[in-house]
Amino acid sequence: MNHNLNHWQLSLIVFSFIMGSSLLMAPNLTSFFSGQDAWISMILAVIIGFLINILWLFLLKRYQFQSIFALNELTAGKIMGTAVNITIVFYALHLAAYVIRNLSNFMIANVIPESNPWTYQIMIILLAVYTTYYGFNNIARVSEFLNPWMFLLFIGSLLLTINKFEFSNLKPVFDQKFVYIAQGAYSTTGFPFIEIILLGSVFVYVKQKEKLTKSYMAGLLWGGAVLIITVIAVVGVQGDYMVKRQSYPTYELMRNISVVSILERIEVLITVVWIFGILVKVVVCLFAAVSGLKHISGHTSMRVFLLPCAILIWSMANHIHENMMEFTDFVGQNWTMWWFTLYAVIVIFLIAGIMRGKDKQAGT
Amino acid sequence: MTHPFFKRKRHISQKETSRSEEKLPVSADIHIDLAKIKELLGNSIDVKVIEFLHAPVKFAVCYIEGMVNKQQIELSIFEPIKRWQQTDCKKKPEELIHQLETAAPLYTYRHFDEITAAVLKGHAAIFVDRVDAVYCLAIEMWQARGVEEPQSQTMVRGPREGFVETLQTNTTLIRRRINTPSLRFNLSEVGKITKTTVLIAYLDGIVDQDVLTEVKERLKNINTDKVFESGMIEELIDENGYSPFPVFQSSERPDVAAAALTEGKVVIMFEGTPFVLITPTTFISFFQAAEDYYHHFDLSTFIRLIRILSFIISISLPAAFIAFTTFHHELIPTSLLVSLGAQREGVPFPAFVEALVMETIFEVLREAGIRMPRPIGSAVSIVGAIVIGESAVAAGLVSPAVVIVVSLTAISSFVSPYYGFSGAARLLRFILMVLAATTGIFGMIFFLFGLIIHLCALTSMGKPYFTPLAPFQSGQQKDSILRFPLWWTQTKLYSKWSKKS
Amino acid sequence: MIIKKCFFTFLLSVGLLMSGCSGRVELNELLIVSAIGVDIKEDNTAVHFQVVNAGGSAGGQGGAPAGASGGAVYTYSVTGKTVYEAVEKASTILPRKLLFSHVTCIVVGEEYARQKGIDGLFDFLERNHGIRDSMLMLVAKESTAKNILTIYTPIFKNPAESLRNRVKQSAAATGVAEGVQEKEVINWIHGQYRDPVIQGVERVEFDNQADDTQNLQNIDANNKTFRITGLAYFKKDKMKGWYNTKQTRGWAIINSRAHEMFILSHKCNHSKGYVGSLIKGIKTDVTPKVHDGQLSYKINVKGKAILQEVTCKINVGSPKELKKIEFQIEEELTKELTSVIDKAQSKKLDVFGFGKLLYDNHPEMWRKYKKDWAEHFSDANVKTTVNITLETVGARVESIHEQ
Repeated sequence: MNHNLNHWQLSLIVFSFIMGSSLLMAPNLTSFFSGQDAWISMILAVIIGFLINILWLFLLKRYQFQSIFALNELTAGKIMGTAVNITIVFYALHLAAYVIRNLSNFMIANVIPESNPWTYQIMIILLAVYTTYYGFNNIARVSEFLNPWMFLLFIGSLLLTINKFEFSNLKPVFDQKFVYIAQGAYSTTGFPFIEIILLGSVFVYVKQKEKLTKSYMAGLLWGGAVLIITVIAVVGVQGDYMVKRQSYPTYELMRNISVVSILERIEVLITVVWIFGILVKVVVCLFAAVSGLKHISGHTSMRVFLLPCAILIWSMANHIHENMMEFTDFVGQNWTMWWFTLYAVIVIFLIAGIMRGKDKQAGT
Repeated sequence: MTHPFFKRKRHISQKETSRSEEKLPVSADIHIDLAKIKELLGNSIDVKVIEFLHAPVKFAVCYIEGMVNKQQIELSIFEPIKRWQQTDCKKKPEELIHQLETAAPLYTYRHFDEITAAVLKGHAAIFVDRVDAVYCLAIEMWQARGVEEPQSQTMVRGPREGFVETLQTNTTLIRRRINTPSLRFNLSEVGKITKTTVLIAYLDGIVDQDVLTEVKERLKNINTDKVFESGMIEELIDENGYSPFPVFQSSERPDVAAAALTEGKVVIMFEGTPFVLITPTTFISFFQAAEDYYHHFDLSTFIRLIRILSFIISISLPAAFIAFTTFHHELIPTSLLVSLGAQREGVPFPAFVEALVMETIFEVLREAGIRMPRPIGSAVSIVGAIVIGESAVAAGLVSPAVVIVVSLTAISSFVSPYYGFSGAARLLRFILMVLAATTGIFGMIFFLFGLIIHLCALTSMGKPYFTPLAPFQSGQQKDSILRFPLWWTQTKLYSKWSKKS
Repeated sequence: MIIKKCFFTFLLSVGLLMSGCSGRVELNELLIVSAIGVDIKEDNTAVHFQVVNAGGSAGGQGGAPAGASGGAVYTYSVTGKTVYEAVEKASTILPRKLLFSHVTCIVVGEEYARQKGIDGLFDFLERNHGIRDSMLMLVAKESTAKNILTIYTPIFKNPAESLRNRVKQSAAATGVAEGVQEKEVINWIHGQYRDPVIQGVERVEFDNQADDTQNLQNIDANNKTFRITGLAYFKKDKMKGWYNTKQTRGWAIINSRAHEMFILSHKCNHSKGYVGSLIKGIKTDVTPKVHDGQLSYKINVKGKAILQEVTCKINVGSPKELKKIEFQIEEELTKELTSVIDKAQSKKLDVFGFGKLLYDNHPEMWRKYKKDWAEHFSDANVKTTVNITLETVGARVESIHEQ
């Protein structure tokens, strides 16, 4: 069970994590509030995400990138630390459940309505469990192999839509009130940029720690750039009125591709890219949860916790929200604040630890 | 580093059962020894003991008929000894053995287990009275197949020599191609009953020492009775038991083995089979044929890409066809959909059943084609082509599109240069078809992701199977999918590039 | 270990069995809908589905013949209160399941467009996961959609495909390249505050026997073919009238739809005969300006022309004559532009998207004018400038009529 990563694999994982869920959801979340200025809210969200993550990395660097579960116990004391760890485990499982629910919603709404959502959920949970069984090294290699292809596929399909791009769809620029733009940015910040703090459980396994900050930030910015380009393309080709009303605008964008008659109906490609991103995201969450449980319980191997976590995720995905609109509603309103709370709690503990001089104790 | 990877129980050797004749020493009395050797080897008709009990120094030669060079026994052993025996001076028994005039190596054994092992390998055992050792002369010679073109791996341009079943010839074939003194062959033995000789070949100084120690370790720990072919050993020393992908490359060509040796790999050769094992392997090496280096680099690159494409086709084409025509009608252009619909008008079975039946029939035909005797070869091809292809379509049992799909798949599966690898593709194809028929293209996508995860988790002798694609080593890329020109290593671009990795 | 494996296999098989192979439909259980027609019938909606008969249309070698003959397409008609109710009722008369992903066009009868308005169609077409929103919309001129959808056409076995190709071809004469798509209409009405226009289609010669395949044996093609007419203009979602061909061309130029070639033929000034030219590379620039409360738009058209036919007595070889021809072409184009602008302004229908242009460039002005946009639009001052360069004269220099 091998968990080693090098820095290139880390930045690729960050990139897939960010592109994962947001590829299909980001244009909807941003343009719902900010209309044709959706790309501005996206830029704003990337900037805010960048700042949040810089602070996070800076703090962790002071502690020599130890495992975040150990750090919590170090800075907050045994009892509070264990409580925070349990919360992190819960958050990880919760996020995985939401991501999976998102995927099955998409499949049912847009692609094959007659099928059963359980099929897709079980398939992806099985894949995630299979990957985590072999250690984090496995998903690092898989993403190293597949990421260039996914990226090419996605950019290729975006390029194919360029012939329909109309700049007038993005005008007038900066017309919306700043409140709306900020509201658009608010929902998107939580959606990938704060969730990525879960990768803190992986930092301890990265081989070259001095390059860690740069690769992490590079992956983040690169993912953010791709998201911004996606939003520009989606709104520019379709117009903000249509984008506001569609459930999954990027998918609808891909339906518009018609360059040569053979390249006409290839929206399945975007689905492949999205499923890959979701797989990476679920694996990272599952890994964080399982290592947290391993740390809390003091067990030697993390494989024991895989199957119970998988079943928990599956049942949470199905039972927390009854229907699709309740799900979207909850995510749109509460998600950023929900995750920001966790982030703030951990950051406060880390800062308190630094002030009390605990970072000198961290050592290696 | 001996790894924790290798924990399968079957590789942990159990205590060997001791045999009673193990450490039986040779006595000085030739009669007792001869009686003992006859008892050990039994009354087989091919065990010959030539006794010279009336000579001044009594001696006897024991050998197995058909495995020794009888002429050489007469010329090298009997002639000189007879000449010596006929001289008048006092003859000491210890001097008898010095009379031999032979280029073959001479071994001295004092225990019967070594003697029987040597005789069974084709040595001639010389018993001398009043000497408590037995001398064995390695003059084995038997009927072997001549060196001819290997039939399982043909190529357009390249040497037409292939390995044979005799180890000596095989080592010579390799030795002739690699003339450095660092080529080493290490002897080992597997199989409690068959006691097959195994040679481990490597180039000292270039070979990866971890892999070498691991190979030696595993071969030592094999606990099995019989080994007839390298495939059986392959299964026993594999560390990923249930994967359909082979982790050893087997080859019948000496140039392939020699090339592998120069890359730092270890070649395992067996007595009795022309197929040698090459380890460690990567996934990409199954798409490379030795011929790629003998042709120009752009042609080779193109052909490698075609091989990868045909691998993908042979796994996924029938499944993709089933998925598109049953679940995803919107992805097919309208006119194609209409003509596919017209073809399916009279067909009673669902597309999945059609494809499954046609695939099974093709597998049956393929197996029949391997086993059948030559004279009825044409009958089988007629049956296959006309009856199954044409008539089944005309009778309305299958639609023509399915026939095209199945034949294209079948042809693509022959492109891979290694049979074991295309076997993996055949199995996966059926699983993919089942998944496509139940869950459409998303089931296929999930399975393909699962396959990539599985491939990334496989290891071959401790090295990751999916190198150099993941983990990505840019220095190795010059040879993996695209074949860069051989002079590439001398360009400035390459030196900049390999410094980075 | 064994228990874990068993559990995994159980989970996997549960997942597969749970799907129950749902969602899978074999090809011979499907009816591919190629065109939808909507008509009004005593205040209800009559929906016509034109479906493809695979056995009769494809030329491939099929399986054993099993009813695999007959016409290439068939049209079924159902009536219901809305489109979706008609779909529901259709499942009682149709022999197979409907597949909507290959619909090429939707034809609306003129009565329906005038009385009921087209808004009621859109929700079903958008929400269904299989329907693509890039399908063409057409209005049946002075007839019902049923008349359009019940003829067999020569050359194309599938009449809907024939319609779609016709729309593409008619770009040469009407200038509207790629027709009017459904998503554009929705976007215009609700997203961009303008009034939509939709292309019209009519039958060239009405003949009762055209709905029989026997008619295809007759060599005269005019009674089995469609004509794409000018645009129908709507006020929001109800149809109000028709533009003629010149006005259609003008609309296409203003909306930058006519970037590829179209053909123009106009009278010579001084003698009898006509000059025909092919115009390509048309670029249009529309700029809104607000000056002292007066709204004005400047339309700037640039293009290149190629001479195709000269049947009057002019000297094609002289550059001065060519300049005169250029001037005539520009005049002709300006006439078309002004005629469509005048008609639109007199009817107070913003079919050009001038409102959106104003919003793009001067958003505060737009917010002032938004409430009574129809009035402001009809009062706006529109100036057009056309600039055409005659690029080549074709394969001949002197015409035979020059003597």
